[in-house]
Amino acid sequence: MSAADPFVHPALFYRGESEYLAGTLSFVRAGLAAGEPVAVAVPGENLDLIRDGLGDEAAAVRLLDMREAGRNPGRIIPGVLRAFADAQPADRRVRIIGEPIWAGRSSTEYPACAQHEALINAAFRGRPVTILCPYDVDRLDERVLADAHATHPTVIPTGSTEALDSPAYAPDEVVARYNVPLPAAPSGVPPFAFTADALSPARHHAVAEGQRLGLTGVRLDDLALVTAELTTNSVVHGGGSGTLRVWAEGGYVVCEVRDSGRLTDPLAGRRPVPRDRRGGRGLLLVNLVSDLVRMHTGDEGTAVRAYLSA
Amino acid sequence: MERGTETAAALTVCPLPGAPGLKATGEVSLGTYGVWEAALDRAVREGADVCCGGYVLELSALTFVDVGGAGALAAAARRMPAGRRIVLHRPPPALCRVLEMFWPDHPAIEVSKS
Repeated sequence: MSAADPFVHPALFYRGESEYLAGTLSFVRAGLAAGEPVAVAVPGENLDLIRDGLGDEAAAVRLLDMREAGRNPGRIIPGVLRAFADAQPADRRVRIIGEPIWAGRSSTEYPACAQHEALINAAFRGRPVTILCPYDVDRLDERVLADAHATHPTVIPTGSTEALDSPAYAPDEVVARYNVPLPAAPSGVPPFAFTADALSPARHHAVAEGQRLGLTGVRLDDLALVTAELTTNSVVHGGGSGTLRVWAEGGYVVCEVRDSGRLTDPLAGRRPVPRDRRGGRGLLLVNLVSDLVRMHTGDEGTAVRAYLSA
Repeated sequence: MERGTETAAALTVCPLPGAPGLKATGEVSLGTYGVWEAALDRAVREGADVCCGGYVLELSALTFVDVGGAGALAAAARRMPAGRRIVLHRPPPALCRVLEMFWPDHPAIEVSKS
């Protein structure tokens, strides 16, 4: 990485509340003092700590609960980080605290979390933006902390305020390492094969299954949209056909589409699309409305799973 | 429950009786973009002369519009002359959701749910 890259992306390793506040409040205050736009997107309980710590200054900061805004890691770059950064004056450095990984993240979510942290580097390369990512050393496991050294060019060790270069920095390797085959769908879930002529029946199948599994209203509409975008992608970019499966898993309805294509752009679905550009929003929509998106792509094809809570 | 027995997507468009506008029936997806875009072109062409009330797209019989179809609508609305607009009558909720997500406050699109 060039030392001249204006994008700054440190991991802040913290132990306990006081270290958390020492690291985050000084970061926010330095930004406010410099007239920089500042956003904080962290899990709710940490958001409360920062809000209380900032007192009156909190009014000048965009505060977001990452458990909601960033529930789906694939949504964070377009829906949280760039949504804020792109709306600021171009001549200002933008500061964001983003805490996408907390102790309650499931093993199903985690690969998407690690890939998200790695992809932030590509998404913001060349931009005058600083994104500080806190990691709770007491509550996150070793693997997560080791990955944070690979997804962040610099790290701030516990009890320190100084960012050091991370010798383990290798974001592309993290993206590749977590590009793992998705486990097989539960047995008994019937595959629905589709081609261009069966996009509509495929969507009807997904909606019928979603309804049977308890989705209603907006979430059922979201399932229809997600299914339409994933199956249309298979027809247009993924070899012309694919297989759809819908099932219930851990409180979610899962919509899975497999096809023979290969996704070559790791940032697909993570870039906001300018209003006046016409297409290119399919995967972005899937990321924005889903609670989790998991993906595997390779020579053998591409599988995408979108999780929707009722 | 349809399970692959249905035929491919269909979309038909006809003029609205008694008001400047079109009524669309069916769904907007990959297989029907051609019909949808032709309807939108017509809306832009004819809507250029409609001031008060706007040019109506009666969409209560549309069952679904995908993101590409919503994008085509947003692009068509951008081509409307200043001050002219397309009024969507009773659009499917998924279309409203996509418009709000990607084109909030589009100056040339009005949604009428009544």
